[in-house]
Amino acid sequence: MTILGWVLDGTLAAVLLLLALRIIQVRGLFQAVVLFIAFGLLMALAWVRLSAPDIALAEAGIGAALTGVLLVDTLHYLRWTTEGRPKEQESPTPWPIRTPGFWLRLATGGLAAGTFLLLVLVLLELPGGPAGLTSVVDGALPGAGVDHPVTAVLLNFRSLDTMLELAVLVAAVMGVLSVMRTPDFSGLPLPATADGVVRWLLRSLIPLMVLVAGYLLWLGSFAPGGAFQSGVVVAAMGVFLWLSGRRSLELLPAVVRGTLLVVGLSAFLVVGAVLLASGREFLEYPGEAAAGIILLLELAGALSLGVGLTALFVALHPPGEGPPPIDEHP
Amino acid sequence: MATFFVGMALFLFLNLLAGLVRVVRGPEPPDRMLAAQLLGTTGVGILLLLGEGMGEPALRDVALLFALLAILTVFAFVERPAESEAEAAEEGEAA
Amino acid sequence: MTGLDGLSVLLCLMGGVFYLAGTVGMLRFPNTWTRLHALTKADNLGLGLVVAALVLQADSLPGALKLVLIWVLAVLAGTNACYLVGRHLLAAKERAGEGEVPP
Repeated sequence: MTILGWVLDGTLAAVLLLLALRIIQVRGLFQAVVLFIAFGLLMALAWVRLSAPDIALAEAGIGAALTGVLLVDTLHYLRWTTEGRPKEQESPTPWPIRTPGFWLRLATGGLAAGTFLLLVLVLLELPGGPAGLTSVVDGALPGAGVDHPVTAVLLNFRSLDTMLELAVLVAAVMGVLSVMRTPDFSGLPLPATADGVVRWLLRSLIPLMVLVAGYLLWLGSFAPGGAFQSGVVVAAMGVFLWLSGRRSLELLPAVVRGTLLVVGLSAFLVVGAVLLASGREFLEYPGEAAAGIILLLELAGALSLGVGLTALFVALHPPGEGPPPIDEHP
Repeated sequence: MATFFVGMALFLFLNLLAGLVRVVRGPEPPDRMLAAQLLGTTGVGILLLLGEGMGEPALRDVALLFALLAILTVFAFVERPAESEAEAAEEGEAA
Repeated sequence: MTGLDGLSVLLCLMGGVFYLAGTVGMLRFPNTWTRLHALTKADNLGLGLVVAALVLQADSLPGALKLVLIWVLAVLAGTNACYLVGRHLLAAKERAGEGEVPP
């Protein structure tokens, strides 16, 4: 690696650490959230430098943007519920935080430092250069149905793991929906924006995002992309609509909503059952149909992910009035 | 040429860091909202340059996503403002 | 180094100059309004020049078009973000009673 590469990576690593420190010690929560989003995007850059564009895509989408928007929204909502309206307050935090005692902090810090040292030791023991299962995966790639090794691993060789990840998503969304006061999504926290520019933005961006989601889904067969990245864009669409006060999930009949949420997991189960019935192992794809099966599973997974993540955003407010937006324009 | 592009990416990265200083210091909330836009344009530039310099065309798709997410993040900041001016003034003194 | 490469380097360096200008503006300008302008205008132009440099290096026409599309999207994002933040800042200033009108 060139000198420039080392300088870039070293600076990136140092900045990530400093930013993490700053996020922990800064007092204003909005500051912390903004820095957290910046941290997430810089992490995506780190993944890029580690030659892992798939993870970079997922990190930027979920870790930085969606989680960041969730945090901003939570902060806004917390402030509204504790004070009634966003006005002056005595302390930067909306609720009193009890700082843990000295011994607890020492123990936690010691545990974190010990884990870090163990990880460093493990890293030093790793053999240099490409190792692990790279050669095995590359050897099995021709019959996998896709050209991209990451997609082949996620959707073919280890598709059981992906199925279980989708099951976790379904469980999480069901958990959130079960604490909502009205599970029928009838509450809309924001009035629809009357702002002309925002409406133009929505009209231009939503169709473009549909296109990008489809593109990323199709891309997964031969380049970094696939179900998770595509699902992130679908979720971003839903979040966009929700932030501007427009209904997306609420318009769908409940049956359709529920179906979309579980279609990812169900697709895996149905495909597995069919394969079992035809004499193969669970989720062992026949060679010639592998490409089609993988695309189908990715489509179902992307839909589930997008709908599930959007449901998490939409569901987190009780019905009726929410915090009013500050910018009211006719 | 590849080295030049990586060097330009490094230069843009240093610009990004300088911009982050404003995000950390900026006395008012909108100064901090600039973070999303800063990362949106500078981050896209870095990714495109690294894509050429590292020989990874997939980074262009990451850049595409960055641009989309930048506007989403700013939208969230603006539609869900979560900081009052009194708190900002207090943080300006405390920082 | 061919002429095309030289042109790419030149365009890239010019883009870098604009990025630097945007960063300096972001750090040194006196208030949020001007800082917003510095960031949006200069950085987007810098990105445009960098994309122009990369387009010259592109292998295929679809690749070059994709780069231009990414630039268009970034400009879209940047200008709308500038508008949104400016609108929010104006509303915040009016609420605080400062009534400052941007220059």
